[in-house]
Amino acid sequence: MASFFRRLFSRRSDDAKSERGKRAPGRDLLEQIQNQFEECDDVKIRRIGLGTSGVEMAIAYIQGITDDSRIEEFTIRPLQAWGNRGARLPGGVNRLEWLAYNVLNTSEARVVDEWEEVTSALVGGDILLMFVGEMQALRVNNRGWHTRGVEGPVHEVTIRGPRDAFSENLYWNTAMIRRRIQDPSLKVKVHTVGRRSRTSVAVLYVEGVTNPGLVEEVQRRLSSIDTDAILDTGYIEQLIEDEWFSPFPQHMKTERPDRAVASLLEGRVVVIADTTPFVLMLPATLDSFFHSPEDSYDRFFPVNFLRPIRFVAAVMAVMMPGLYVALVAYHPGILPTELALRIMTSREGVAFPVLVEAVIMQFFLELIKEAGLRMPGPIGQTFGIVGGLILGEVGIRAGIVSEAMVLTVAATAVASFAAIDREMGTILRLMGLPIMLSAAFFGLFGLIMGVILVGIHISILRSYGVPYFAPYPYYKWTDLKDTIIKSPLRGFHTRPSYLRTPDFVRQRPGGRRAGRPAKRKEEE
Amino acid sequence: MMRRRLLTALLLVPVMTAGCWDYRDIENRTLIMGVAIDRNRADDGYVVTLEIPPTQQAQPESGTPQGGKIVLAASGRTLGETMLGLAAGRLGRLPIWDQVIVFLVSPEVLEEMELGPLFDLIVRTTRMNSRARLFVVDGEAAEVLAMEPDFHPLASLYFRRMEEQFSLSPRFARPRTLSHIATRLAEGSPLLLPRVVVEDGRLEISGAAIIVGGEWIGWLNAEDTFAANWVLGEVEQGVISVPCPVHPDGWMTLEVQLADRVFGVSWTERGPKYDWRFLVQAQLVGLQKCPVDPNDPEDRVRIAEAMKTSLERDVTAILEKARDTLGVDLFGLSEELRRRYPALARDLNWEAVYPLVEFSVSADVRVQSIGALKALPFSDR
Repeated sequence: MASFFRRLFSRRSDDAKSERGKRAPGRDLLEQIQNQFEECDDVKIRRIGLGTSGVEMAIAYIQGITDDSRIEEFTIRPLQAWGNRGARLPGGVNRLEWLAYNVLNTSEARVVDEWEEVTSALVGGDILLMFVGEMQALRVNNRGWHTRGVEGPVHEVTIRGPRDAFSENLYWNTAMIRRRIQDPSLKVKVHTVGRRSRTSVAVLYVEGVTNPGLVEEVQRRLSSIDTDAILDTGYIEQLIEDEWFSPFPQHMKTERPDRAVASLLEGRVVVIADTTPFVLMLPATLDSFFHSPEDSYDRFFPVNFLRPIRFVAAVMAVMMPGLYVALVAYHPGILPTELALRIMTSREGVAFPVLVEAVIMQFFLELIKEAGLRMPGPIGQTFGIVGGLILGEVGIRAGIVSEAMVLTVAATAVASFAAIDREMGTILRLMGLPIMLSAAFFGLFGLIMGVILVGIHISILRSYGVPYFAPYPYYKWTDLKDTIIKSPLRGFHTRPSYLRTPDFVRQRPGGRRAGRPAKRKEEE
Repeated sequence: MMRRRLLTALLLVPVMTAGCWDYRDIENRTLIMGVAIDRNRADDGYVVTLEIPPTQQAQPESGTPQGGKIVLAASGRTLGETMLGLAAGRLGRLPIWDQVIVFLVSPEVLEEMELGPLFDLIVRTTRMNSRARLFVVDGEAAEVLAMEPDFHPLASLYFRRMEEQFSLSPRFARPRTLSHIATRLAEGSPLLLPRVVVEDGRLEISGAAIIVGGEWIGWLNAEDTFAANWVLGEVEQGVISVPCPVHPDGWMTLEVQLADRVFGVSWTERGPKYDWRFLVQAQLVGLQKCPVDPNDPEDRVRIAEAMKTSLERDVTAILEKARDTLGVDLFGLSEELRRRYPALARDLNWEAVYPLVEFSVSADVRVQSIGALKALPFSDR
């Protein structure tokens, strides 16, 4: 069955490819373009007569993704001026190339005659300049569409650190990174992915720092993608990840250039796609999902207090509902007496068993979160608070849930939101559901069994060959400098060994040059 | 393959050892906080009384509400029948024995049934909390459990708080857990258990019950228990009143703190000799018809001497009482001898040697100056 579907889909994809390369009917290129883009009202054709010579040219472009004013200023006006001066085209040379060289005021122009290249240029925002009756066109770079400017990050807000975030423009994003790494070793390889979307996807790495095998593997996986459209890096992530069935994300995502740069300097690869502000960083390790960019900017004392809290919160998000159910339903004897009494009193009159109660509360929590997310900002916040309060309060009075359960689920939710990566937080919270079921059937044994199974899965999971659980059981103790705890920046002597970087040493011991610092002139 | 089988087996273990058949929501259970066992002379059986904390709707059919709490009693011909009958037939909810804080027995029960078999029965019939503390009631245990002490809605909570106060005023035996008592019984060691008594309608923990071989053999009063606690090394701090060194009718009250305790045994021609040395720091906290000045070094020496004499006398008295009157090795002296002289103790008839053992008790008391305070507000002179 699987092979049948594979054959079916591969045939379709081949068909689509051959259709794309097939030239539309027409006597010349202009007519072919008109036929190909029939019923495409945004495709504009502008005819130009070159003075009194009788030579007619045409410009084809798509409105909205090209810069109209630049077409006028840098293409049409020079051509008409040149024609009006009575100048003539020389013979024996490619006339389009000659125009590009002598007449047009454009930065990038080249002659194209392959049909696929012609259509790609047009849909990509370039303009095509051609002589009527001929089969060649001059592809002139004129991309210009309205896009969001550089704004602050929405999801990864920090108190300290840069305020700019990636936008939907690929080259703006690569520029943000290049501005931070002004080193020719930073390489940017752009691929086109998606048969119909033809999305530009850039692979960034620092030559000499990133393992060449990793770069090669990323490029191999990218070029193996055969899909019609890439609308976000989420598409790429899902198509190239190691284990598609794992609930854990195997790529880190960020909208912050500083975080992407930090990854690059560690020896990771960054993947940026056009039209999305979220970039991928790979390979990912479980640990890195709990590291905030702010951790690098603050001194290590507060970091070493706050970062472990995130890890504890992650364990809470996974275990708390299950632990509550197991304790209340199976092992009330190990609760402190007063707490057992409180829980018992709060459970009095609740209509459902504790498991059903927990499932109901989890459902309503996700409901409030989802509904709040889809609402406009201020309304969403208000809805979240009001919805939570009302549902909690009325739920308790109606005997649907108990106070203890509201507290447990609320604490679980808060704990899951402490994860830096939103998706990881959601996964941890949802991971609590099967563990809670296991705990409801087998008590604390079930809880531990569920946690062990998750632990086994994490232990065997890999991201681009790097163990997901790295660096804990596998690598040098120096790799522990940036894990649950963070050593002072002076101790960041080496890059993570699990990334197998060619340039392993990151800084001198202590992060300073050897010897005493030179005295200032004033002191002398 | 082997590893997979092992993993599967490991994962199946919890499935076999636990399961949804044990699932019961907490509100369908009831916490048992205190258990009291008395003899029912009329039927020649037992009465078991349970203390159950109040919850919103917990009203067992046969329960007698006592204020906010429920005190439920049942009687039966045997202890097992009574406890199981309570749990199965009259409680209405599944009992949680794991939360039992206090376990009260009357001496009559211990006369009828020794502590060892009683423990065995309790562990077999219930999953009793092994951290529960055992108290011996001088009177009806059920009566104690039914009381509502000041500040505490439950008698069992009162006992827990009192246990925390042991170190402040050790005039009762240190409360022990069931597991500790079971270990001591298995070793055959004598035990001192806290005595509970109702005085003027109020609960009081005072003195100790002497348990030998699981059997109750008598009581120690508060003073004897205090002295016994010095011997056992249980006293960390306490308040003690001693006769005034300069006035025949006067009294001094001192707050004492044990700084060091040395206990050893040596073998003399007349047999074993046990030696206790205490280093005590004391602070004068009250005077009654006693004209001494704690700021005066000479008076401080007198105070220390009085305290030393009192302590040595009390401790020697309890040791001699255990040896001569009770004839019980209350303080584990034979065990200490066996540790120190294993070869000698192997062939020793302890019963014959015990009446001959000698005691040497010495105390070094240091009285602290009260500092810069010249006025003595606690003094009535």
